[in-house]
Amino acid sequence: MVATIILGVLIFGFFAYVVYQKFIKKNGSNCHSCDDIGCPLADASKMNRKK
Amino acid sequence: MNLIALAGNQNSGKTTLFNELTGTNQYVGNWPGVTVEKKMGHLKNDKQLMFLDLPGVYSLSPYTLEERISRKYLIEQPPDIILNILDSTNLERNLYLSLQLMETGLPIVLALNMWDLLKKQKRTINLKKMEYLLSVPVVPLSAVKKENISGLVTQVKKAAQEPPKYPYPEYDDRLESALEMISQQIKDHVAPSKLRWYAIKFFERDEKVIQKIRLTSHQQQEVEDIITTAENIFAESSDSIIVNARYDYVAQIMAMCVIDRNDFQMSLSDKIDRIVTNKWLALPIFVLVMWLVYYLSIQTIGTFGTDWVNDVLFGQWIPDITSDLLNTWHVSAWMKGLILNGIIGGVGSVLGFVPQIMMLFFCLGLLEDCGYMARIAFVMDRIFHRFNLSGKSFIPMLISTGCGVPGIMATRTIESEKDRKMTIMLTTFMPCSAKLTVIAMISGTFFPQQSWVAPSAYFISMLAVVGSGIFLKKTRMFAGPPQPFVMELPAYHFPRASNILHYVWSRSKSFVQKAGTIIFASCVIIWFLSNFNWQMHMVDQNHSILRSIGSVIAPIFAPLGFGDWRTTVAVLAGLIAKENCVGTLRLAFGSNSAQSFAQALTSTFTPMAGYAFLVFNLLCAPCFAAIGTMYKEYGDKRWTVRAVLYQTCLAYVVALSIYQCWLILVGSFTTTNILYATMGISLIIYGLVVKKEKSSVKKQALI
Repeated sequence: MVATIILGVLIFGFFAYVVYQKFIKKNGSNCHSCDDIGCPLADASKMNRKK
Repeated sequence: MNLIALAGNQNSGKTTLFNELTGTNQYVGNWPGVTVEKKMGHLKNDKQLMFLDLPGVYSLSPYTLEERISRKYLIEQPPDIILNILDSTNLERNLYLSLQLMETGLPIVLALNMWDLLKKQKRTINLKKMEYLLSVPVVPLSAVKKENISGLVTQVKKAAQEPPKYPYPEYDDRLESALEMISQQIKDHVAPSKLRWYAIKFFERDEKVIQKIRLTSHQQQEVEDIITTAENIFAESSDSIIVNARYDYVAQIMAMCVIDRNDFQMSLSDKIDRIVTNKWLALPIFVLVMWLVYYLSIQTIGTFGTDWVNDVLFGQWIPDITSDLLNTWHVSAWMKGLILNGIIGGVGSVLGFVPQIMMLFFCLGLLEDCGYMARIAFVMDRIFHRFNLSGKSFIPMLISTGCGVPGIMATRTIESEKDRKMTIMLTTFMPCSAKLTVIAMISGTFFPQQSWVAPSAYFISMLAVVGSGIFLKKTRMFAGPPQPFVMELPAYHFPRASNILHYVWSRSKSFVQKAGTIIFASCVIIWFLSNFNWQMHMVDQNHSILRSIGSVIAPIFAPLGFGDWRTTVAVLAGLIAKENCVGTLRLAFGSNSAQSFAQALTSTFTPMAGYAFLVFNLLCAPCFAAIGTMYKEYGDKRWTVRAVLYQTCLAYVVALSIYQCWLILVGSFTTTNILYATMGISLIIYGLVVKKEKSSVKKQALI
């Protein structure tokens, strides 16, 4: 019972966090950050910084 | 009768050509009120074409009498066509006038005279490139030697029947911005087709135009402020800004088109490009390359990894360990169901495709880093241009193969507003990494040993783009000439391991992160909806909320072959993220293992129904993130709704046509099938072939 409650809190808590971050928060993150999805400008700038 | 005005620099051979075209059929007089000679004459054997020899000028400024006469005539009594004669051996100076003539927006044909002298100088002009850059016909000839006069006449007659449309030359962005603002001030005082011309004249502070077009004092002040701002930005006077902008454009044309044979040397990249971008070989090579990419990713190498992840990692190890742990903790049955079936089953089915995703991005990374991807845009431009599209529209589509969101944002590089709006609508047809999971699932389940399925998904998307472009360009909303596409092809080089690894890592990481967040959240919701009824009791799937929602909408998809509630809810869940199609189907079928899931699918649907499901999800409205980005880029709800509706309707028609035609081909059809197939094919044929082009301006669509 206790394990169920703890797991429930964790799972639904994380669920609520994801929904809030992705869909409700005004300037919430889009699906991806720019360089992850391959925006050519973001990629190039990151590569330059790493060099 | 068509009136053709000959315009050109002095000593460009204009009068020689005029005499050759008209012979003795000339009428000589004076321009009204001046002593400048006016010559007219009809073509030797055709009285339907009348030529007017305008005075030789170097520009259309209002300084000399000849210039004033020429421009007054072109603006106030415009001819049907301008035949601009250029001295090929002095192209740079002659092109300056050509650009000014093109600013009037009148139909124009360029005649490159003294072609024989150019050859003697061991130089040549790439006519195709010049035609492409300027979007007007270009004809080489020698008036003195009477070479290719017939070719010119043919082109002029063709232009008389179908006046060439072209985008006006566009200059520096800052200058264009100033011209646009001036256009807004003067638009109520001039005809739309002359707006560009007058905006430039106002910018130049042309006295004749300022006297002629009476603006209000507020408008005059606004225009003056705009010009002053531009002068401060450029640190030059306004007429210098325009002159320099024109010469910059001319320099670009010269660099692209004029070839000095003595200088010509081919690099290794050029030699490779002779094959890779060859007129006949380019497309087959492209098809072969993409087939290989998808074959390696989906069918062979990628599949080994995916099979292991699905069957071993998420099929045995993780579920077994988790189940044991949950039993040890005495977790309640519903929580066990949520974790094992909902989260591990749903998210695991998506993560199972990570090896294929990685392989795909590895191949795409190779192609991009070696320089081949740039050639694809170039090759596609050649095809696109035939259908009034521009290759510039293909760059966002290339980016969309990763994710549609940056692809839509990349449309900001397209200057033409119409082309930009159209590209936003079409760019999400390209299969992104999320859609790859659907491609992999369908091809792996229904067509296990057939290598054509995954690449065909890519090519259907391309066909949808081209077909939609053809159809949409015929509508008033998007009609107009294509923008020239100029790009620098980077030299080929060996792909660097660090670049490719970074490429694969960043995109795979993004895929896994998405699975751990949005897909996770979606799986929780889907599990809940598929295990509870409206009274919040735990039930089996056939009595669940999900089934009741899916059953309402499912009949819509029956003609497509997948009118089942499970595929319906998968399509709906795909709006959150396309990967959800896979996760939702897995949850809805309630399968414990990858094999039982595949068996459940194949026993419920035919292979072609699976393919129709794939095609529908490929082409229909994209995920919410992409729709949101479309809305941001359009800045308008109506356009967003239009785009989403168009994509969904197209997806429906194409999937319907494929499935119904297949039924007819295999002989198991009814009258209804024939009706559906006929409807689908007819719609497609109507859009591509029957529908006539609408022009955006009623008379002479020019800009």
